[in-house]
Amino acid sequence: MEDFVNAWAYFLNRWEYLLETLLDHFVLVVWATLIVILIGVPLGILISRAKKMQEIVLGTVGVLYTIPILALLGILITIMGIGTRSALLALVIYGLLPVVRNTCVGINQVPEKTKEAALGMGANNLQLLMRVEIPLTFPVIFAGIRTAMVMTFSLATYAVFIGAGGMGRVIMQGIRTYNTGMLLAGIILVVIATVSLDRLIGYVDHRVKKRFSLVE
Amino acid sequence: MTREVSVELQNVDKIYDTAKVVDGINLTIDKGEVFVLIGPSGCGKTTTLKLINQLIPHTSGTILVNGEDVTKLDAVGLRRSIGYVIQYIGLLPHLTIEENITFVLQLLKRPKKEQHERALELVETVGLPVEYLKRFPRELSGGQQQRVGVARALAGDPQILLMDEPFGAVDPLTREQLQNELLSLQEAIQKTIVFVTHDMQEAFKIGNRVGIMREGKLVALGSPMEIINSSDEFVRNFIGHGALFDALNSIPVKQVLSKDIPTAREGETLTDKTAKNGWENIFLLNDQGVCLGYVPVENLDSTRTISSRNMVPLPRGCSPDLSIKRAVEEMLYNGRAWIPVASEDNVFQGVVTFQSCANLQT
Amino acid sequence: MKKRSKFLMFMLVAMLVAGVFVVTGCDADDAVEEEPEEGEEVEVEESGEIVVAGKQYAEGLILGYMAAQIIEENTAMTVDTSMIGMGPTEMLHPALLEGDIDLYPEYTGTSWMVVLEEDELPDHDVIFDKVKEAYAEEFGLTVLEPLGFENTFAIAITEEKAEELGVSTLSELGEVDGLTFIGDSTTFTREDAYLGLENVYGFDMEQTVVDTAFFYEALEQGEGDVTTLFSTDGRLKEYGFVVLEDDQNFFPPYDAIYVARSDILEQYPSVEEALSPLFGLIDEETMIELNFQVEVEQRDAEDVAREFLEEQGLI
Repeated sequence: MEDFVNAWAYFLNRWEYLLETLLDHFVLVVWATLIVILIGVPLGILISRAKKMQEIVLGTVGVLYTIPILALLGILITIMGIGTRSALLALVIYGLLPVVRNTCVGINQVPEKTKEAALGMGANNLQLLMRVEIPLTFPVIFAGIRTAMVMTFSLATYAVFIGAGGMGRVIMQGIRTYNTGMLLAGIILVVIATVSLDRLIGYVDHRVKKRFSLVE
Repeated sequence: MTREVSVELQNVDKIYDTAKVVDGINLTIDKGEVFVLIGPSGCGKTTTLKLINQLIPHTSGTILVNGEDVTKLDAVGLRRSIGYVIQYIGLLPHLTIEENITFVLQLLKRPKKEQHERALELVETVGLPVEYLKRFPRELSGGQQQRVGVARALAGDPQILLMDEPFGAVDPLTREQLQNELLSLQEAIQKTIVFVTHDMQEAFKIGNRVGIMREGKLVALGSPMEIINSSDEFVRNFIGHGALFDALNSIPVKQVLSKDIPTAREGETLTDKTAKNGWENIFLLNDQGVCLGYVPVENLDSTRTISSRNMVPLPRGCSPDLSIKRAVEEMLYNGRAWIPVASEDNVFQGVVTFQSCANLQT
Repeated sequence: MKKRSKFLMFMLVAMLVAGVFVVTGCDADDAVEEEPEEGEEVEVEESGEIVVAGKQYAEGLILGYMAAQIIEENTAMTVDTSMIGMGPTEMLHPALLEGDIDLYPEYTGTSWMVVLEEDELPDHDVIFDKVKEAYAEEFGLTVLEPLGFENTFAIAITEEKAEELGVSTLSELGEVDGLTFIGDSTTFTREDAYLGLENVYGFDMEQTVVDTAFFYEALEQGEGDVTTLFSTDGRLKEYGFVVLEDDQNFFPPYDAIYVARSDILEQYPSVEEALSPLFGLIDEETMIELNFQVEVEQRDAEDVAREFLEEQGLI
């Protein structure tokens, strides 16, 4: 209980620093998510057409996903050095799987009859993709993005190990200086932020699902 | 009237690996006719349909649409000029009804105003309220969705409509409604329709000509009556007994009007001229040619004068365009073996009897 | 299929762009100032920005903030303190070389072993000069004068254990059997840690691995008999552990120093001048006390540093 009191005291004392750090953290997550979307969605679309590519790509991304993050960071340090760049790369690698997989699976799940109707009416492949497949898959893709973003937010606490900023710094420092107040304040802040982020995206997700409902 | 050919298939094959799904099909479909393809499951009728708009490319043979070889045409452009309606309706769930209807126009990048006007037109054509344009497919019933499907196919004003079991996914009552509506629509718009179904009744009801397929080949081709008179065993088995009656659904009674029915004016007397062989009744007409009633011969007095005094009122009649099937149903309903026929302005056309219907077979 | 391949091309390009983006762009830690070329005459300037960094432990934070505050108050420089608490030597040194940071507190022993990767340990008097020379030659870094204290390894046991075994030196401890040593993953692989103790003092103990944050608790709770702490730990004051004497002088010297980029010091001579009062100012006891304030009294390192400087009349 005393620790919580300390945490509150620490927060009152250093809320500027904490919020600043939280913002850094958030910015890192946003960048990572944007890149994941930029790479993951087109990749998912590409492989949705080719069965073999699907296996290869999904398999690779899946394996990368299972590498424990500290190990991955260790590898990245030796290849790319420390800093935000490496942290970003690590976060992107982890964020790819949900987005790529959801995109690919989502597109493959568009009902045949719907595609046939569109093609029968004279849609070319690009129009089929842009006017039918992507709009119909959008809720699934968005769910993937949501998963990726929330997960990235949590993982970004590890960015501290590769020399990037973020809430991980607060947590680690709290540990290293035996300052439970700082530690708890950091943890609680991360938890609150993660849950809030999830709720926020969840709300958007809900609206998206309503608009793009796949129910016939 | 010269027959203009809309679609022609010459020796067309479609082979998947080793399976010949469509085998040496030869047929021509005339402009403005409703051509029905029917056959057991897996006979290749749907595949044949899809060869026409090249959703499936054929393996060999030639397919001509409006005289042009489809392989030389841009497939996407071809499809935009042909209406396509499928069984599972396939409305795009994320678009409003209006957006669904105008989909082809969107692909063609027509101006928004034009699209909207067209949507208003079509929604009325298929008998749906204008408010529905703003709704989404999931809010409509199966029958309503199918109407939207038809509207959608008509949006680009295509000359040719391909319909693949379009009424299969709705209940029988709605199906009948939709069939009737299609028939009246066809009367108004006169499209060339290639229609695939597995329902013999449907085929005979709406088809001008019917093609029966089996294992990729065309085994019978002709008007409903011609098909019924086929001597091929498979065909006879396939269409079954009830088919005759259904075939009669496509033939109007004006084709089977009894010849030489006795008619007379008020005051005329029965003479040899008016007394015809076997006829028991004389039909009394007025100056406009409208029938007022009929006089049974046995009711005539010694003067043998035809007058309204010994006249029996006419039973309910029908229009000359009514199908034989419906006319016979009316006869049964009225408890008679005959039914009077009058045109729209009530001018007496004649009478149709069971016998005159049966004479169709000879 | 022409339209299709055009689209694929577009997608591939989009992905490549994103990839390039990751590799080159958005590096938020880039230092603001430009780096002068090798051999070029460095222009002396009065004001600019300097990035001070430090390790995550209390001492690293305190020394980092001290440097930052004394520079900021006494010169026209602005100091970026966001890198204080950045990470261990493995991160700080490459960052220093890159120019992402300009200055941070280090230890001669660590420089010798971890950065220069030397095996043999030179004498106390000599190590500072050797490190200074090597840093200047190999890295273009300046090692500033020592701050006045050493933070070396403190092999500790509980008071009770000390009484029970009757030992006070490492040699004596090495002769005892059946003991357990508490360390973390690096403890048992470093030459200046357990491995060295094994060689020099004949340590032959069971190993318990926990994270370095828990050494104190682990020792107190009896999860092991011996552990390695740091000689200026604030918590040493709190717990009553006994630190055994390094009678064979096994441990290398770990004099606290500031290391900085030579070009930065040349460009801004006021920096070194501002730091000079700190050289030789802090002794072991003082450092322990400052660490204690952060680690045990849970005070902010920034505040502790500032208070100290004010008390000393340095700012």
